[in-house]
Amino acid sequence: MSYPINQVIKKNNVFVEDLVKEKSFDFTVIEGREGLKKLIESLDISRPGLALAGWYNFFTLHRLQVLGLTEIEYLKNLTEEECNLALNEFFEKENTAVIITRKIEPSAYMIAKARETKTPLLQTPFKASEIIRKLIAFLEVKMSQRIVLHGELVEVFGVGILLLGKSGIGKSECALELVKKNHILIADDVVEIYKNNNNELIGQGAEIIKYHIEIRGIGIINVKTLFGVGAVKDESKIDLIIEIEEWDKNKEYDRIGLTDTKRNFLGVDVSALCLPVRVGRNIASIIEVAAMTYRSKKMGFYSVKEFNKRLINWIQGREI
Amino acid sequence: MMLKGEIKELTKTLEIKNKLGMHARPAALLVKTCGQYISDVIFEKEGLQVNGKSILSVMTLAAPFGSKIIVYVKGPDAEEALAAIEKVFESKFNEE
Repeated sequence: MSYPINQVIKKNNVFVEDLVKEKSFDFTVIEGREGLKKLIESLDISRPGLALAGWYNFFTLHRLQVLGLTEIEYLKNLTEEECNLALNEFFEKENTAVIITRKIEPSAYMIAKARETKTPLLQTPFKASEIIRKLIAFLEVKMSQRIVLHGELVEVFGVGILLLGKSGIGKSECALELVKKNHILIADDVVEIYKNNNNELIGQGAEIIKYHIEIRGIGIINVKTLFGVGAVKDESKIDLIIEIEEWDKNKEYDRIGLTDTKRNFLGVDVSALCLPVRVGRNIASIIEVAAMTYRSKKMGFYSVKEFNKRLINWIQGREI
Repeated sequence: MMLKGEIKELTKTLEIKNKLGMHARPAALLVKTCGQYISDVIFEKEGLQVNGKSILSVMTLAAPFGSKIIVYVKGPDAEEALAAIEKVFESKFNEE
């Protein structure tokens, strides 16, 4: 086994019970509680209209099946015998769960089949199109690939900043100072990152150590109780990556700020800076300035470019 | 802080032998041990990997009694580091 890189990919399994726990779906479990431990294998959600009519070519097993008004009305139009046959075949397909929309009451036969095949039978008040949209949005986030990084995630003037750097360089101390300056802590030490639907990187802290920060010499402190609820947040977009490192005499640091360096995580490019630490450099203040510069660039004012324009004009002997 | 010598990569699976599992005190001891070496240390439990030199990271492993932890050590003093980590695991983190 080879040594892993310090950027690890975390598997995130979502089970049917996680859907039931999610309040926004408003699911009621009608039958098949034994199947709640089933793993959701795919983001694909199926409307089994054609399958119920007997067409099982290209039908995929292990899917979430949503029975909308169309499916239910179709089944109602069949004779009891035909309907039972259709349901027999449908419930044999190892469906992850069967979801009934619009709070329609399933037939006794359907409930019996769900029990027999241990398929969770869930009921929701939403329409099929609504629940599918909600499920996809939810599953995309939950099932997305995640990486876990060693660093801090803070929000400074509304800019989500991921601080990276070696152990002991002073990331936590820097995060603490930013909190003291009324900025917000999202995660200390362990940052979990995923990509959302808008192709943005979102960072979260690990559940167990949420709101805590370790300061060498003091120990583990709870930022939420010490600084108040305003000092913490559960997740944030990552706008800027700042790497803190020991001052390296041989390395060229950005002296002007005209080049926009990017770092890529999960296929998303994020602006990145490298800050060297040295006695007398207050990293927290520098990070505040980096955040303001980032915001100003976003708002269309790129101070270095403006400055350079003036410089060029002045060299050319034009009015400045 | 450069140490001459070749970079070694070692890995070993160790078991948590104290009753309470990886709570704050064992985590601190383990992180202290890892911190005494130049080599990088990574602990892995059920696919989750964490930095061995960060106390909060180690706690996120949520490792109870009997769980198996894969230890990866990489660096010029990897052998010494792994031996020390193993000793800490074997000593049940100085607990029951």
